[in-house]
Amino acid sequence: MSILKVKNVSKIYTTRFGSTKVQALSNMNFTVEQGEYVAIMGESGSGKTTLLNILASLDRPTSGEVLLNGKNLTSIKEKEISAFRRDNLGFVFQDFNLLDNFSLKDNILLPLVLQRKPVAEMEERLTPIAERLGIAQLLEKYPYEVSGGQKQRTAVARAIITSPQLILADEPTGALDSKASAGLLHVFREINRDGQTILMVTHSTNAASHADRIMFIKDGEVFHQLYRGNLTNEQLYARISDTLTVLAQKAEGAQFPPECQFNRTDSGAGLQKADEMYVS
Amino acid sequence: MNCLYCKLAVTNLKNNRQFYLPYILAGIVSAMMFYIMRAIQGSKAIAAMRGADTVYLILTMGLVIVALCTGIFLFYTNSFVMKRRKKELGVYNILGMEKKHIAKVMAWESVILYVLTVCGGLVLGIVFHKLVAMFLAKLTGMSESIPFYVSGWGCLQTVELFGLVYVLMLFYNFLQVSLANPVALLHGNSVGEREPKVKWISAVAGIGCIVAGYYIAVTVQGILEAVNMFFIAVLLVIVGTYALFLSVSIAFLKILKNNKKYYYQTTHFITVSGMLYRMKRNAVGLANICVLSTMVLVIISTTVCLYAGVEDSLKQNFPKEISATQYFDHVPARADREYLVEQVAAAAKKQNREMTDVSSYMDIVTVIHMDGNVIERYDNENPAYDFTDMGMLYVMARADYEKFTGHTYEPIAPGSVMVAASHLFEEDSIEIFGTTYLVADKTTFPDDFPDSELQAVLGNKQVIYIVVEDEQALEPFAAYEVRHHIELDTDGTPEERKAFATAVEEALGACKETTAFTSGMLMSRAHQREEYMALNGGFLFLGLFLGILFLMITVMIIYYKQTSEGYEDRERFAIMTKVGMGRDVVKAAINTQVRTVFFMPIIVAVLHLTMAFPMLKIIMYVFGLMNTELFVGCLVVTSVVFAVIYFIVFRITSRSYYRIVY
Repeated sequence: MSILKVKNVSKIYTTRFGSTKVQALSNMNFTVEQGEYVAIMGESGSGKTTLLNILASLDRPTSGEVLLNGKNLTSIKEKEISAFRRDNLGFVFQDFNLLDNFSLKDNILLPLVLQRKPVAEMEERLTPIAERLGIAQLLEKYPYEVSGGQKQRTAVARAIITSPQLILADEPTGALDSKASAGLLHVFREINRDGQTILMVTHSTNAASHADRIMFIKDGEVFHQLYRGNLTNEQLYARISDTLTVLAQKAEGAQFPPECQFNRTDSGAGLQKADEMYVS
Repeated sequence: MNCLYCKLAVTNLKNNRQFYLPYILAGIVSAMMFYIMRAIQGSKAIAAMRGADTVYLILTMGLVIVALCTGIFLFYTNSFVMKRRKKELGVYNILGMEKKHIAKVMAWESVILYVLTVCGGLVLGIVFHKLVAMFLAKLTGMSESIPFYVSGWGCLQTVELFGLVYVLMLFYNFLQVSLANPVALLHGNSVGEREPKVKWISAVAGIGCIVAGYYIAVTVQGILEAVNMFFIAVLLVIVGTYALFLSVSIAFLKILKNNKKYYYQTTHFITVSGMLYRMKRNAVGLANICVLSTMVLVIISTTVCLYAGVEDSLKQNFPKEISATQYFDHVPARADREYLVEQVAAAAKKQNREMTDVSSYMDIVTVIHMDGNVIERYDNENPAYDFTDMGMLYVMARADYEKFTGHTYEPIAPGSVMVAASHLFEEDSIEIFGTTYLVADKTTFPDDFPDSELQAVLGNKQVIYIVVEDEQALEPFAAYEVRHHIELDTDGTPEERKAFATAVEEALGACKETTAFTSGMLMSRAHQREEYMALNGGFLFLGLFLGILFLMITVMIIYYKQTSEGYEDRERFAIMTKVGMGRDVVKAAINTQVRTVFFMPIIVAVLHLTMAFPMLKIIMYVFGLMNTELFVGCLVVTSVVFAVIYFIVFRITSRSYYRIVY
């Protein structure tokens, strides 16, 4: 069952006096299945952030529609949008976005408080998640007292405490060292294994190599996709690197080399949905 | 090369105009006020007027206060602006400007700011000087016309004072920059803040101070005690106010936070945690606003009240239009006393004035020490006596006392006296300066006896009247101050009354030889009115002047607090929106916090004022104002006007706050 459907989404930014138009997204299409772990890669300016903002209902597309669990995000009223976001989406940001004036515990509970859940339920939900993410001992501390990795795990806890349909992660490892990154990616893997759908935007080949599927975005379009199949993280890493190299070459005018086409049929598991391979 | 720095400085100021515009405006107003104050104080036209001494003294006092406040205030604003600009200076440093170059830019900025401030201030000062001086003349009842002129000394001293302040600020800024490394400058305003800790001792001590201050203010009795305790009470309340904002508020919020049922509700959750940090950052600023507001309220309401109550005070302190007293070193003969009264009547005829309510009586007065029924002379040298033991003894003949009170009394036998005091005298005999008298009769005072002010100072029990049968019985007391009073009311315009008073004074002075009095004194209500107007008008002028200055400082503190809050809040609310908080909820949360923060000081200020009322009322007696209703009215009106102004300022500054946050 697909949880997220992006249909023909375009986004055009117009400068204030309408003189210049920038096409950030052009006719983008893709779906995310329930329980899938998708990474989106792309250069700066490829439209990643715009896409994420639209998925997060922080921004609206110029045309097309986004369906989350069958509900059209673009048709939600401005008034309900915050509540919708709070109930259905979980966010993990590059710079954590924890509030300095709340303890880790209160940071994690914030969405539940906004949902007006009773205190007992909050505690009930908090304990297993904190244990799971290894921050149970840190709950009374404040963001400035803990490491970056711990902050990011707190942010993950905040994202999953509402049991959202979809977790949107924006460069979650961007501000972490390699050890903390590995820890976080492990956490993502685990919660994904529990059935949590994750959509992660990243620059990092390493981070992307942990996902089930990698979408490459270029000039506002889904340019290419890789499926994990039976590949190990290391093998997937190599594939991603190759693809990125090709993408870069293509950007300089080179043709997409035929050897990359093997993605299509490689191991027989590389791709099940060939029709979605090249959207452009 | 210089030009580059100069240009850079101008660009900096323009880019930071949001901070510098109010700063320059406040500087200009301060400079203007200082100049005007100095110009009026040094004005020859004012010096030539009657009552100028009083006004001069008041203005000098005001000048010092204005200078001090201006200095402190400019420093405060400067440090605020610097804090916000650290990042910008850090960027310069990283881009390769050396610290000495940054110093040059800063020096240019200071020069530009200084020139703008002082020039603006002086121009406005010169323009408005005459207006303000006329206002002062009107308030104090001085009639002379005031010429338009430029005070050289005023200009020079304004230039000097502001020059000094700006040089000091520049050095402070140099120090700030030279102490910091570029990275620290870059992060100058984003240091991770710790959650405030509860300082229980300070919280409890703070509450204790305020309660003690309030207790003193409410229970104080008698002018002497009020004046003595006033500064202690003020000090306690000021200390308490700072503790209230610094620790009590945080303790209170922590208690709320520890109550999970309360804390984990959407609005409380955001508000309580937000308030904790706001209070930590703003406590001192808010306490400053609170203390300043209280000062504004007290200064303006008391001075307005004194001014509005001039007639009341005059009536209270000078029940009769003219009151003349002659001092004798013996008990004067009845003929001499009648002669004096006749001379006054003659003067009235000459001046064509009608005399009404004429009364004349004689009393003997001395300072005493009273212990039970033993009265001794008050001996300054005696270490066993202190000031509070001092009492007053009045001795009168029965006929005079009857005239004085309007009642009639039984004749008093020789060797006996009648005792009159505010309380009923309990003893059967009384020893006065070593001679024992039988107490023939006891009576309590009527309400309107002379020296009422003194009685309030000394306390009721320290004033005693001894009434004897006749002049002969007065003789044993003749060694003390023998006074003969002539009191009367009259008609006519103020000018005519003044002329009459002078004529009476001259007529009585001419009798000095014939009736053998040693010295004389005359109080005329018409003359006193001018003195009162000069004093109370001067006070009102100073009160309004300082009130406006303090109000401006308060407004500026609010403005800078609001904007700095805005920058700090912007990030937090952006995060909350991302996490799923609706804009309306965010807005409501901001509103609650901002309102609480900015209305707390004025609410506390009004509370202080209410509790200080009993004490202020007594202190107003010192200035001769007994009209409580008038005082209450002044307090209420001042508070309401202040609250309205405060609210308007709050609304205006809120707008700039919301512009930043959204």
